[in-house]
Amino acid sequence: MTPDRLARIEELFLAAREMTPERWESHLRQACPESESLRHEVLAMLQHQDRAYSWFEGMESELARLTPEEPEAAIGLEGASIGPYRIVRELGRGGMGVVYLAERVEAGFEQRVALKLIRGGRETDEMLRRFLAERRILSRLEHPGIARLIDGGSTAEGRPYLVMEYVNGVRLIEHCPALSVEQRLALFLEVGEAVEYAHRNLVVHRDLKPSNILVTADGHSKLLDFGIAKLLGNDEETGATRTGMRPLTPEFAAPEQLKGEAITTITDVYGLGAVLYEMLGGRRPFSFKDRSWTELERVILTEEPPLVSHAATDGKLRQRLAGDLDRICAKALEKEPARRYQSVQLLLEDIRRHLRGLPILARGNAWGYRARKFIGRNQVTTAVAAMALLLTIGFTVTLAFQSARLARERDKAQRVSELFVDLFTVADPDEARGERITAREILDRGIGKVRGGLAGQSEVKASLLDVVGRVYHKLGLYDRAVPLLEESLELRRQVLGRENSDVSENLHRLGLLRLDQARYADAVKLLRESLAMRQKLYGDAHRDTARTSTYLGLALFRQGDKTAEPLFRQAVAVHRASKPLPKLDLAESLTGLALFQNSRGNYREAEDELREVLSLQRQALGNDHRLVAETLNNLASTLSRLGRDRESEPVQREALAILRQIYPDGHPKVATTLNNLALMLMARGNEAGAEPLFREAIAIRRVKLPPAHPDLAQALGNLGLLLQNQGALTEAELLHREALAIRRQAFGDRNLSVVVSLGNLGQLEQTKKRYPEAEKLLGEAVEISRKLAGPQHPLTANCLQNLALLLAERGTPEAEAMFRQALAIRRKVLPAGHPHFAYTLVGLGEWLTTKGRSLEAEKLVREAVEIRRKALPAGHPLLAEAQGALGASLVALRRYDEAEPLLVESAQSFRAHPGVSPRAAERAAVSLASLRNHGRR
Amino acid sequence: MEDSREVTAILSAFSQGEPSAADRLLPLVYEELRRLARRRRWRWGNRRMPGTTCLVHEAFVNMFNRSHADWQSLAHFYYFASVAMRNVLIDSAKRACRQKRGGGEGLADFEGAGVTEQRGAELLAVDLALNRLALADPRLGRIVECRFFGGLTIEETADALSISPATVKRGWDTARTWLYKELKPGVM
Repeated sequence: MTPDRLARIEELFLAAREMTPERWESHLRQACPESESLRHEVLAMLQHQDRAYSWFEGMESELARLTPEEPEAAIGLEGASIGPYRIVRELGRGGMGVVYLAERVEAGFEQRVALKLIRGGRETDEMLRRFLAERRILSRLEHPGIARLIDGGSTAEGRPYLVMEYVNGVRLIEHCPALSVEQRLALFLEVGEAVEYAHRNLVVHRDLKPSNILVTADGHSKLLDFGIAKLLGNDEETGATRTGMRPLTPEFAAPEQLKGEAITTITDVYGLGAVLYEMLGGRRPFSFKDRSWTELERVILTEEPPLVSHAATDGKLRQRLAGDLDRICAKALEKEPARRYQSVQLLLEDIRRHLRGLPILARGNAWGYRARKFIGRNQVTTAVAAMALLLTIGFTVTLAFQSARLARERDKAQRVSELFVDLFTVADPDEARGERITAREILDRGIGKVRGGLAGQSEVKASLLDVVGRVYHKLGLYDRAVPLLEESLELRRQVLGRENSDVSENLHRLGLLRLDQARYADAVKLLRESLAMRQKLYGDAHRDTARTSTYLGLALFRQGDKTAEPLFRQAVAVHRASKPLPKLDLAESLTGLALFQNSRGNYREAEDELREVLSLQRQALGNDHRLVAETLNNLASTLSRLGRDRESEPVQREALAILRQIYPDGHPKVATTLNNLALMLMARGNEAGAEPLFREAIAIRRVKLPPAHPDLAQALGNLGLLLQNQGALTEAELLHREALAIRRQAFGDRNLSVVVSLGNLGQLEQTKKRYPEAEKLLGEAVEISRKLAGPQHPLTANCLQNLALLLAERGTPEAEAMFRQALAIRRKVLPAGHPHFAYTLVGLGEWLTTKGRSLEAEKLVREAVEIRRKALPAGHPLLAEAQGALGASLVALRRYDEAEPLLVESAQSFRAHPGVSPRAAERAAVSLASLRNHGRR
Repeated sequence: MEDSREVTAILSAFSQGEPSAADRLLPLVYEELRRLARRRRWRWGNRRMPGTTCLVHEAFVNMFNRSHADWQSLAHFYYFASVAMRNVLIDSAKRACRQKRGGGEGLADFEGAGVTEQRGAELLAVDLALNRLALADPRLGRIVECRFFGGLTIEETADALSISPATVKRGWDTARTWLYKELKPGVM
């Protein structure tokens, strides 16, 4: 099987499995007309999913049985003390641990509490720290319907415990049979209000179930364990896995919890639906006695629960529940979060409406139903109901109202759009406290409504699609943004004609999006079209025309096209001439120009331009804006290229601090900064500091960039090199191979970044003594680099040197000429003392020493030692390598006294870094041994 | 601990690309592993068991005495531990199948680590199919190693491979169904 085929299979499989089985075949025929065998294969996978999962599950539990198993012993703790609490007796035990009744006696005041001792597990410091942080949020929840979290800590053995308000009450379900349906609903409203209160405080319960709800002696409800599931790390959206942490109570788990998708307040709507269902029907929506996990998962994910009226055994009750309450339960228990009540408030509202005899929302827009409810009520009530209905439908209605205005007043429409963008952009990074109710969720819900509704109002629809698409773009959700902007463009073309300012703006935005997605060819095409349209509509000297010029320049630049320069210069000129000065637009075009200068090696000019950009942006945006951070990044990299690392590092760190503040969840831009900073640290020998930064950059890029993005390959390659230096070859190889595959996919086989990957991989193969593979890779790199970069390019020097090192290791005489070629190129293009020389100098020097030309060798290697001593900290393996080489040449020259301290220091450095450069370490050891041998004689 | 030097040497061989090193390692850490299992009350029954690899990991850490930095990253380690488990299990499976055929070298199975003959054959089939899968997509291969052989959770796998949990989940689903299709000739 080829990688392409497998990738295609994966893509088709993942898309189709979201659909119902009857649509699989038709979808595959449509999505993959090219290959019947491929369709056949994917269909087989789809049809056997369940069996595959359960087969693997069986195998897994068999394998797991290889680990000895011991039941958790009951721990008799009565009378024992935990922190300031004394255990009275055990109250119960569950998945998380054991709950005790405990008391705290202090100054004669006695407080009874429920103390939950968490089951032993792997409590890392990190987990405990998070535990404490979360606990602080939860302890702020104060509501009569929620049992308070009072305290928490860890026992002497390090097991975490929680102290909660002790509630003396009966279980909700046991309490219900004595109540009328109205009383049950009233009690349910109380429960729901407590949940809603928590949601307003951005806390999601995640484990709502009747056994977590008690009814006190005075008939009020109390929720236990609020937010505890999250506190215990059971939250990880993906934590709901087969072998790992399942939702605490599978029978009440919402489908998205089983699927490992995002858990939101709507997850609690599902939990409340299940509670309501059992309160009314006396049974759980699903029953899972003796069912396997797979079975359970299948049922929760695919089966509709029976109507709650069917669950009831009593005939009269059944009649009472049929209709509204059936629908309310069903809507709360929808599989798709988007189809459920979109908030607890809406669910409660429907119950209140039902209690007052008003039409419920779960009915949707069925006019017949509403008409039925209309009869027998006076018109005032109906008007109120209609209002409430309008208000609660919320988003759609708001949009529809605003859309009416949009259509009338175009300038206001602009403002509304901007308001939206601001609203959502602000909502994102700032609101992520406690539980995440993100702008993205609001958008996801909203966009469904925009798409579904607004028939016959194409222009408004296009605006809204455009707005939401832009917000997705701003949030970094590129894949979601594309279809929206494309749809909006299509609609506008239909309604407004092919040449129109909105169409040109739409093209421009879509081009920007493609640019961010690194789909440069697409971006160029879109931006060219937009630019041509704008030149025609507004002329060359217009700001909008200049803006598009800048971005077209950028897209061309990314493709390595030199025609970018005049576009940047043209834009700069237009912006400079505009009054008032468009600071940000000017800054953008100057940035483009600076990037271009950088690429031509004109670093001084680039620095000047970037400093101007920085000052413009700071004036317009303040000191801690994203764009300021980006400019700081660019400036830092220019300074590094000028060899001014010491100036560059603080600039870089300032950028990182700004970006982390803006994007606490990571963003491709954070990744870029991390990568650059790590590179600089690595160049200065601080590998321990660089590694976590690379890993973080990779993690972010994997999640936030489209698959197979060249930026990911770059970070993978960097980490691979670092690990390679440290001797972690297996992981390094995996990383390099992945990077190579990505680069080939992105750029084709013959490309300079492919050359870099080939070189990395070739060196790795060499370290593993797989010489033929190494020679093939390194030779290919030289050949491509000569052709594409030119025979005198630094990259070609690199490739030559790599190949020379391989040949030298194998004793091939051509090595020397190749070293000298590499050295010659470097002397020509690099300033004296540049770290890159050292590699070639050491390689050539060692070669000469083995050939008995130690005098020549000594001179070269001494230069390498000097260079590395300046660039690297003492004890660095690369320095040790150069010292070892110098020592060896001196031993060969019988200058033992000079050789000894060098070799001793080299050997010590290598001992401190076991596994790093094993061959260099061995050579140093051999030289030292021969020196000592000589000394004994 | 006296063995720790040897363990270090073997691990270093392993990291130099010598996969068989893992086989030499397991016997050394096996007692340690059992001791840990007795002390800790890992339970598979209620699915809170963190996976066999975890035990192996702790065993390693104990033997290392945190003495050196070759395995700095815990997550990184998890992947290797999963590969080690794969080797051990596949060897065990091979033995199970060999014994059936009357061959075998009389090597004592790990107590409790023996695989039944039928499962053994299935494991070997998984192993072969997995090699084919990994050839086409190394990442899917690694996900299966972590999840299936290593017993890692989605989250741990994501950490071990530095990829997102969502990617692991999707990859794991794809890989399982694909492997199953490969293993069951009746499916296609």
